[in-house]
Amino acid sequence: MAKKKDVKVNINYDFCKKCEICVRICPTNVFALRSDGYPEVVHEEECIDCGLCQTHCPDFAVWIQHNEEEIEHPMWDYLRRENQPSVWCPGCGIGIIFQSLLRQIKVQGIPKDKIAFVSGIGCTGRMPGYADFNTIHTTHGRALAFATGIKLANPELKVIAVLGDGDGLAIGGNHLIHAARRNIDITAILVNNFNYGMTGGQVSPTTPEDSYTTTSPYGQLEPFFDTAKLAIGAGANFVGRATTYHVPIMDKLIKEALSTKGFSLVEVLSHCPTYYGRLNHIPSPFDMLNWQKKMVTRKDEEGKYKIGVLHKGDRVSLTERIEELKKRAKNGK
Amino acid sequence: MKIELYQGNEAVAYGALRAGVSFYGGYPITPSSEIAEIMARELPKRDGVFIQMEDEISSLAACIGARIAGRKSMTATSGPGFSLMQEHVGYAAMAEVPVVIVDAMRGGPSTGLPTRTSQGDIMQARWGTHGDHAVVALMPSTVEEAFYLTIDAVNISERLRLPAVVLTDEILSHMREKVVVDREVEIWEREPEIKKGERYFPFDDDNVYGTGIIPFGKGQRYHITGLVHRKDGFPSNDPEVAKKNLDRFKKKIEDNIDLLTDIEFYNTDDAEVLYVGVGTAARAVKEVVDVLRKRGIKIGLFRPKIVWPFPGHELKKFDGKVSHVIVPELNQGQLVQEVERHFKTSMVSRLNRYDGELFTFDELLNGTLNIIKS
Repeated sequence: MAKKKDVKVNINYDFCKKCEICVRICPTNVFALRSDGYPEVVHEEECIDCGLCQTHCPDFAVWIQHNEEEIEHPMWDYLRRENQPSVWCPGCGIGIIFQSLLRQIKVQGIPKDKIAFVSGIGCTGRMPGYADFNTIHTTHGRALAFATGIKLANPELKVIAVLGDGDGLAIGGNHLIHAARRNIDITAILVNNFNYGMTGGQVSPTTPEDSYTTTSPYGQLEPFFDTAKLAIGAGANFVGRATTYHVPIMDKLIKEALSTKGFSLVEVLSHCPTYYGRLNHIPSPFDMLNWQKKMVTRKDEEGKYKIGVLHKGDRVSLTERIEELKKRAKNGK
Repeated sequence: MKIELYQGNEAVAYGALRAGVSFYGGYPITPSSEIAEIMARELPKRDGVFIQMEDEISSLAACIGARIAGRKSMTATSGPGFSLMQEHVGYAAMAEVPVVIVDAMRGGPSTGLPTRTSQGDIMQARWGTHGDHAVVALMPSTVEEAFYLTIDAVNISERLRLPAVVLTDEILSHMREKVVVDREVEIWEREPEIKKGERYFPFDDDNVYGTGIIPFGKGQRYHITGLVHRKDGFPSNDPEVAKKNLDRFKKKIEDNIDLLTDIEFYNTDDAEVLYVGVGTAARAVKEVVDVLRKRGIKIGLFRPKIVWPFPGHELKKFDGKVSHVIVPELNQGQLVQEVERHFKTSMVSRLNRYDGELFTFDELLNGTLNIIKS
């Protein structure tokens, strides 16, 4: 492969957590690992500007610079930088999803003041704290209930909710199906890392059968929820699934979700190297990305997660219906 | 003068509308459901929003969300729903978001006596959610009071940025009385003014109360969390920050105790025997006071309309001045525990009924005479 462009590869060592994803994901070995565990750019001339290191860095630490203006990470202006580095473990998939979301917000040019970014509790729940929007970290499982109030009170706000798998499907399962049923204008991103990370890797409603967590030490006995089917069945207008490996698909889905009227849900299969990975013998973040490749399909294959756009509906959103109702009520109808 | 014949639940709903409530998120429950029904009908006409949520947990969550997005919000429920809401009573207290919760009390615990009355949630209103927190609870005794105390609840919650609870009960919810609806009221509305280039610190000590909050979407991109947080809203584990955070809640009550003191003193000036009664339980008490006064017994009623914070600073002035303090309650004795600690010399006794019915006149009269005689 030939070098495409004259680019500079940057590493922000204040943000880097030594997860090694950039070193291992780079197809042309631009990076090497230093003895202190940090990555180092050793063969910049080999860079083909594929962007994998940048999009898969969970900590906004690596970016490819194309001109003199790009002296900071492209998402720099969207971060509350004083709160970095984040609480997430080195190599955690949440940061990759976070970056994808910010990228799509930037691409669509949604003003920061107009975004209400809502989360529940858990590792994923910490995401809004790092984003320079109107942000609220609510209670466990209830992000969509708060988001519903926010959207109804001020329909001009672009309301985005991030949910974890335990957060969105166990304790918050009721709110998820009702938000989908109402078809309210909210974009929900469900980060499914197959376990409860924040509390120490316990079993969740999405833990695959027979896999290990700290509360399924003999393997999970229960079947797992198919998040997408649940949301489709409940009435969501847009449902898609990606993984932290398949960033271009995730980008596309989030972009489409953000421009959907009505309820949109993007499930992202994520990786938790600290618990799920370690307990199931895939401990390195990079190995977990590869593991995801094998788990998914773009067709209908038994035993695999289907990724891509899974559903598009055209039901009128609740937000539109309420505005119409106000007009009727004022005219006494 | 404009007079309406309102049911208690109607008075609460129309009081809330008068106070500027424009968002209601709720879940049906006896005996509060009429409040939701009225709000569902009235709010859309007034550019407001009504939503029936999937449970009480999400109802209060939606209200808090709506308040953050700029609308004064209210929900109404009864004991079982109030239990579910406790999660977000704590959140509203921690995140300092104004919100009003009406709890039309019914017999408990659990499903209890859905269509009968009770005052069993007095302690739950104060300590229902975990952790030290600021909360205000108001207890109307008449339908007209239900109207005006709901307005007060909205004003107080907005002004102090905390959850305010209106404790009614099944009897008050469903009884009809005359309400003079056009008394002058002040509606508290304020938003902090931030100079250009200055940063908004929603949890700064200059912003504990009396400033209001800037809603989402107005250019101040701040953070809200239920975690212990710094003045900018971001979480912290620092013990100093944690203490400061909790001190704010205490301070907003202590510094505003005058605003939060609302008591009816009924024949208390020369009283030798003092009732401490609240809500509907205090209604029959007044009648007993009148009858016993005619018999020459110097008796009076101390009736807090705001029960939390409990006006101990006013009540303890009666210590030693009265021989007996009697606390009639429609529960097994909740408020009495608070009353007792404000008396060192006067004897505190209790009168309780908890079968779903109100006190009868005879029951109160005889109970009182027995206590005085002993």
